[in-house]
Amino acid sequence: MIRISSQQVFSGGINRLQELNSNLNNTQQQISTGKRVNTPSDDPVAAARILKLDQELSRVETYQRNVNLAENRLSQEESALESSIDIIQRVRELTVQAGNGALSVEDRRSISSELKERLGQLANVANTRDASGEYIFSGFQGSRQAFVQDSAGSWQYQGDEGQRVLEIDDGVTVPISDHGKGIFVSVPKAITGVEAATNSAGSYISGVELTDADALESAFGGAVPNDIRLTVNGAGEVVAENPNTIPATVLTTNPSPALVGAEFEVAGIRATVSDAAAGDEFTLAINDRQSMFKTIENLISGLDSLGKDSAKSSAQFDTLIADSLSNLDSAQESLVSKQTELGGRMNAVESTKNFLEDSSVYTNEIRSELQDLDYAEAISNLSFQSFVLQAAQQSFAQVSQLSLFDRL
Amino acid sequence: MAGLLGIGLTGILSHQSALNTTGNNITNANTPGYSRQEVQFETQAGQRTGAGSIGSGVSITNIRRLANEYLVQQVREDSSLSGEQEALNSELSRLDNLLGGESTGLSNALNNFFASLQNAAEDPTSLPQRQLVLSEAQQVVNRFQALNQEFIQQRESVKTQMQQGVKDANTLLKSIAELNLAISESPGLAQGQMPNELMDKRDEKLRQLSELVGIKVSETEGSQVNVSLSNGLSLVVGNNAAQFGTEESAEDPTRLSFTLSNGGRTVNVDQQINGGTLGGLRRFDNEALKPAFDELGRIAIALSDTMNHQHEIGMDLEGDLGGLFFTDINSQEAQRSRVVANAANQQPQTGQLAVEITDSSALAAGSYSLQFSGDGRSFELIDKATGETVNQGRLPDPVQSEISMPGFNIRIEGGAFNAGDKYLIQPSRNAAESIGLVVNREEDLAFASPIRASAGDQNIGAGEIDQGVMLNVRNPFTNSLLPEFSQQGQLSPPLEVRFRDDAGTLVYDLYDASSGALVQSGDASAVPPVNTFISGVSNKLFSEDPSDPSYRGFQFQMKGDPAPGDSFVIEYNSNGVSDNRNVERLAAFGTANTLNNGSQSFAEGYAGLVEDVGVKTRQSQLDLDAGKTLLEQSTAQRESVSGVNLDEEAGKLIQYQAAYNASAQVMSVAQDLFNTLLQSFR
Repeated sequence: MIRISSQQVFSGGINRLQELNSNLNNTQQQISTGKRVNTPSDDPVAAARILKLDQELSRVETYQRNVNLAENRLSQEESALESSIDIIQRVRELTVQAGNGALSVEDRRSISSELKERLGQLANVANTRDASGEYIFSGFQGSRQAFVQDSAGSWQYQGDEGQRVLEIDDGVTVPISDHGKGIFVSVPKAITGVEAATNSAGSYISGVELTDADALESAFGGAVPNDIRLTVNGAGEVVAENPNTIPATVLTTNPSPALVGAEFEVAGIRATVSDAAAGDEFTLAINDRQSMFKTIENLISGLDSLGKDSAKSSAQFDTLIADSLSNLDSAQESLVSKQTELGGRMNAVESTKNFLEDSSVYTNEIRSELQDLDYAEAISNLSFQSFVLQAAQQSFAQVSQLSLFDRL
Repeated sequence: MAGLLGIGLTGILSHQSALNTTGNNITNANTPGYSRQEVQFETQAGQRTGAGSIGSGVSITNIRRLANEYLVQQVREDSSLSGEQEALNSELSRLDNLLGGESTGLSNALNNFFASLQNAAEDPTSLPQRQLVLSEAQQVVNRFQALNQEFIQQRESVKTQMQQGVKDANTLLKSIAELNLAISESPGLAQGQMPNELMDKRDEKLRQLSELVGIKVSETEGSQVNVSLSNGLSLVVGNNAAQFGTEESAEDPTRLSFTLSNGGRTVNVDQQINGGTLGGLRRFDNEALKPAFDELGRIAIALSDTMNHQHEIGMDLEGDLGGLFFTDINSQEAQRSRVVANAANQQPQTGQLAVEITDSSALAAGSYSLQFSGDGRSFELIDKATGETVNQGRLPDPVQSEISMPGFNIRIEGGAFNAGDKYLIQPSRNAAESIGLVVNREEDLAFASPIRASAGDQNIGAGEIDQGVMLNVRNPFTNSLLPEFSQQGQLSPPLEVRFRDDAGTLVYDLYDASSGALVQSGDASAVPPVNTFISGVSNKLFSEDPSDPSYRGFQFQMKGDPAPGDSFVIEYNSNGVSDNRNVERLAAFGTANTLNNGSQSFAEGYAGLVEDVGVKTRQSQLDLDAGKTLLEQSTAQRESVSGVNLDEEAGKLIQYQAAYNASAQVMSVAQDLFNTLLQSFR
């Protein structure tokens, strides 16, 4: 039997009561904060994970904001493209109209004046600004107007090839802008025949048309097709050369030799050189690019200046209409393909948005599992602990009253 | 009859003493350290008669103190343990609450900062967004500094507690020495009669002392005790007490170290203070507070370093290079502040050292001691946490040199070093305090990249060039600006990449785009080939290796099918206000693993610190519970021997009272007998 000192009866009892009190207080704190982990030492591993999950949540929140912003930007760009397509469509209609041989000069003028309107409209669209006043098609240089008219009145691109990319999830980025150069400027241009400045007056090239793309490829033997030079020799024959090699390679024409005034074909391109003297030179410009603005500007100036008084000018007018139509088709293709690309981006943004929502739900769930209190358990703990405390208090009060001195 | 009277009298006297002793026990039932006393009765020598010996009563031989030296010793040891754990736990809990608090910790500030960068990337020209980035960055700086300040306050509070503890210990030591003297001089000692109350007092003082520091007690002649530290250094010898003291630590002036003075001689006993409140405080400082300083500093350094580098290679809203974002981690002042010369170094103490952070991702949170030996040129670098030598060698002559460690370099700048000199190397200790925001205008935030590229308008091929990646604006070896970026607001020179057919292989030549001069021409036949273009893969333009002569601090990638004659222009991103490439990269550091050789993000680094302190606090909580239980048990054991039980004393009171009454009856009988005898002769 162990001896118990009176002091022990009291101090032991009080210690137990204190312990119970502290446990009860702990449970009470958990219930009042709703948190199982109140300080890291309550569960160090969970505490570190909670910090990580908090970071995860704030990250998801940030990305969700970015997703919305990206959506806004993409739809703004899309609506700009939509308008451009409408404008190009209208310009194409006008071009077809202008091609009608029965039109008078006045009719052409009125078409040309509508074209001028449309050109300005297209420039406005290409100079779209975002909410903070930045030009959305200027690349990195949002403070500079994307397209401005130079002294000759033609629209020139001022920006660069920069593209803004936004992170919408870890490692998932989406381009939220496109530069105007790619959309409006670098549009493939139809193959055209260009006269050298020194040519004899009245000479012209017409009916330039690509008939066989494979033949063009093979004529350049694997290299990217470039310009072809046509020279008229003393015999009135048209000699075709590839001037990009040294020395220039002679290309075979069909018929061979090709004669001035007769249609011929070289490297899959059909053309006719008319009224040319020996020494006259023409270039078949291949693989060139031209901005939509330039296409429309050319059309306008052609409508304004070209008459139908000579065979040459009428041939030039036909060429202008044909080239313009082909260039406008390329322009439309450029816009539509960019629009398709935007659709793809928006889909990606949408699916990321869904993913972020899901991941936010999961993360919240895990976080709550780690940090939040199981109320049922806590409250049953609380009532049990209060019960034990009560019992301890009562028994302590009873035991401490026992004393032999009371019986003396 | 006289005999009977005498016998009765001895009974009365003895039991009176016994009653007194019991009364004393009862009244001291609540006196700390009191040991119950017990009267030892003995029969008095009898009277020899022919028929045998007739007893002559009772006498008291001793009033015994019921104490067990072994149990008392046990209580002392457990008091030391529990005192240590109590101090450790209370300090750790404070640190734990500070780091884990949602508003006091670093996590929220870091998260908000990176979120603001991420959001600013959407609209890099927006000044309000930029302003938000600045204020969130300031918030990060504030959190670092506030946490560091809290650490400092806790360090100071530990120091104050140490000083208070030392004062208390000195008072106790003095009392113990005085009690030793009083006990040795107490009369009756030679007869084995102990001065019980003095013994109790001394035991109580010893117990109180053991709460402050772990001690050893040994008994010597004259019932005195000698007290010493656990390693044997004497605190009390007989009636002579030594004095504890504190002084500024020679190694680290922000810390205190313990001293012990005795007879005019003062020795440093910092290493010998174990157990008790003082030992607990020391343990807290060494095991939790210093590592917390270092770890927080490490995160501050890594954050400053990575953000600074990325910001430096960016371009601000006004077209200038970014410059510093946070304060430079390798300013001369910062480098020198990482070294503390030991105050005890040999004169003239001219050695000049500096610590340069070379790679913040490889930097470990720790402190080191650099010790010189031999002729003063042999050195040894010891990790303070593990005590292991992590680097050793000899300094060259002349002395300028560097000692390379993972993540940092110790640069010996000059001066004389002597054998025995010590330097405290703490690469990250002060970093959280010295972090500051350097960028202060919204426009100066470098959200753009200073380079861009564009394809020539006349290109006929399908070649593409990306917008380039910045690597550096400075030469990493010399730390001076690269010639490409030496002129404000321009690339020197801007470059044109022009493709050419070189005997059937596509090569490209580099031209100065402004003057047209050839910079470097491609050569397919050279070994290795120069500037050849391979179709179908991504071709890297310029080297990423700073030692390569073609290193320009940036890199571009070209792909697709360029045709001979095609050209691309690389130029300064003048007017590139809408560019968000650099802010995207800055924001990416929020989740990038930049710490611990690329295995931890900043938030994880901080979570690691929180977890570490949390684990220590939890451990100390368990240790404290265990220590308390042990103390309770050993106290209970001591109490079961020495404690007063009032019921028992009540019983004894009745017992002795009865015996007293009976003894009085004996005397009364003796008187009756005497009367009877007198009357019979009347």
